[in-house]
Amino acid sequence: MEFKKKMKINMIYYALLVVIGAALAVLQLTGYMPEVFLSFGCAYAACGLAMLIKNGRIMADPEKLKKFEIESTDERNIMIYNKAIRWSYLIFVYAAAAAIMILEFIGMKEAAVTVALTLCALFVLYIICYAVLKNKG
Amino acid sequence: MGITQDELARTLGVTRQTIIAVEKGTYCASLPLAHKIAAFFGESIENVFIFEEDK
Repeated sequence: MEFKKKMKINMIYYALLVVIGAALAVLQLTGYMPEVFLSFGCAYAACGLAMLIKNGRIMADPEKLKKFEIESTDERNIMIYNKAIRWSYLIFVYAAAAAIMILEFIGMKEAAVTVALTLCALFVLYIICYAVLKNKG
Repeated sequence: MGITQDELARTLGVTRQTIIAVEKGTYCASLPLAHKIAAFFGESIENVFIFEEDK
């Protein structure tokens, strides 16, 4: 698919993000949602808006668009991106394991169980992703 | 050949940093990129890249 077309599709997603964010914020302000949804809504709307502005500026300038396309599709950049995800996953797992022990030690059993369950969910997700990717070839 | 890293990178559709990393040997180019580089210089892949088993 042409890169510009992909960016146009992304613009639709970002616009949707703004709409969802604004809707969540409005629903919270009118009392239909718990308080936490105001933060979520504002964050979604702000991120979506920022990405819309950024992509709009890039798409308006062919030189910038070419540069952005090269940076986004560059194989070394993709490798670095994947490596960063792998590293952050591993660091997260080690940090969570340490947190479980510390939380248990200071008597915060419920928090320790929550972190442990999150870690278990992450492992299950990893196994599912591994199986899917392996079968995909 | 009188070509800059930036021109080569633009022609191949990669960043200049990738070309620098390939030149330095800190990044192993993928087979499609190696093919593109070799084709750009009108050479075969074996003539452009030296395979070192320990890398």
